[in-house]
Amino acid sequence: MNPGAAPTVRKAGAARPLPEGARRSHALEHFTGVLTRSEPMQVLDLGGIQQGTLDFVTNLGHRLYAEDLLRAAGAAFTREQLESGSLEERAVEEFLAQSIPFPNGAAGGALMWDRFHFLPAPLAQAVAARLYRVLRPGAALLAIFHPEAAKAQPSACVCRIVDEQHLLMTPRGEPRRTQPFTPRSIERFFHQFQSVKFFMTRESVQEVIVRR
Amino acid sequence: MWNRNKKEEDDTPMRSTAPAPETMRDTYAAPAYPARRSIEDAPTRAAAVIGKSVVVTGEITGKEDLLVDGRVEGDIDLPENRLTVGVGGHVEGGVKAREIVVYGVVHGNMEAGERVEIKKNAKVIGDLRASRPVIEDEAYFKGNVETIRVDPPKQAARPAAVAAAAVPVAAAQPAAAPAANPGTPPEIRRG
Repeated sequence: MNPGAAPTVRKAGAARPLPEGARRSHALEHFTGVLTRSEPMQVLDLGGIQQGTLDFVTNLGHRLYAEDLLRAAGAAFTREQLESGSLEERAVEEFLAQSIPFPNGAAGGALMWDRFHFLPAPLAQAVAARLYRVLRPGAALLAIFHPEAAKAQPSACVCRIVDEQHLLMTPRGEPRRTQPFTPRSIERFFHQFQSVKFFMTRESVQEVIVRR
Repeated sequence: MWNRNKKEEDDTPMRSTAPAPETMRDTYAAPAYPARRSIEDAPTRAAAVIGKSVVVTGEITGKEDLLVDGRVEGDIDLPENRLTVGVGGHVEGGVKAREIVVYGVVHGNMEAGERVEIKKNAKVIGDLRASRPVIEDEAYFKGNVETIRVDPPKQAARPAAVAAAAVPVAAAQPAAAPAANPGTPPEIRRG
């Protein structure tokens, strides 16, 4: 993309019908707003790469870094370690250096999707702290939390951006143990960041936009 | 009689030598490399093959398509051609090619002037630069993706305008420029 050219955003519903299961996301609209107002920058997708997200972000002129933190955690730690949450500090540092290999202030946005929900508490907190350092001031982070009241263990979702207003979340893989989050605990979780904005969807999913 | 002629006319397109449809050309069956090549690579585009049991250590450069089904430990540079890393292929090193298609494993940065396709169940760790990156569901990719923008050629310009526009570019070329790539259009120089 020509850095001098204004970014273009495909208007929702203008050309193509939405895929089945796509839903509107106000958090994504906020996140898109940050992307469209920014010069070409580094964006992180820590839920694993999806073609729709890749096209959307790179068409706006940004670079996309992709990694699936759940998969990476599964490779770096044993199942027992992840379930008990007893992780060595050095191993966590190594995991973060491998999975989010950026210097301080290098990224302008991060898509965390629902990954915080499925990481053990100490690891999730360490990832949040790492993102605080890697994101530059004013950067946005999008996170999703499944309904607290869900009785069955949810599966992690494959999430992709359909357009600037719509997301497609598809549960994939076996149900996983989740870390419970309430609005209050989410605020505490992101206490380092400048602001936390909540969006409740029709499916009772909590979407969050966190500003660095 | 009329019907028979009609039938012959109807049959004619079926025997045409039109290229295979895109969907057909993109299908891939692991053991069927010869069939794929026979469709896609016509007689003039036979691909070199690094077989399953072959291990290559060092840099590979060339001007023909390459299929890696074995292991390559080193950089691969095929600026005008296509690299295919087969299901059993494993590349440990940087890759530059016109097109890159990965069914196997690549651990290194990839750069393609045209498309890069990372197929389902492929594994790529490294940065990716291409004009058309395509990553299928259930492929594993870790790294940075950057899209190279290629401006489409302007066809509406008049020949005189094109010649005039080409002069500064041509003038900027060194006198002893390397031989032109046969695939690229000839430069227009003012006589």
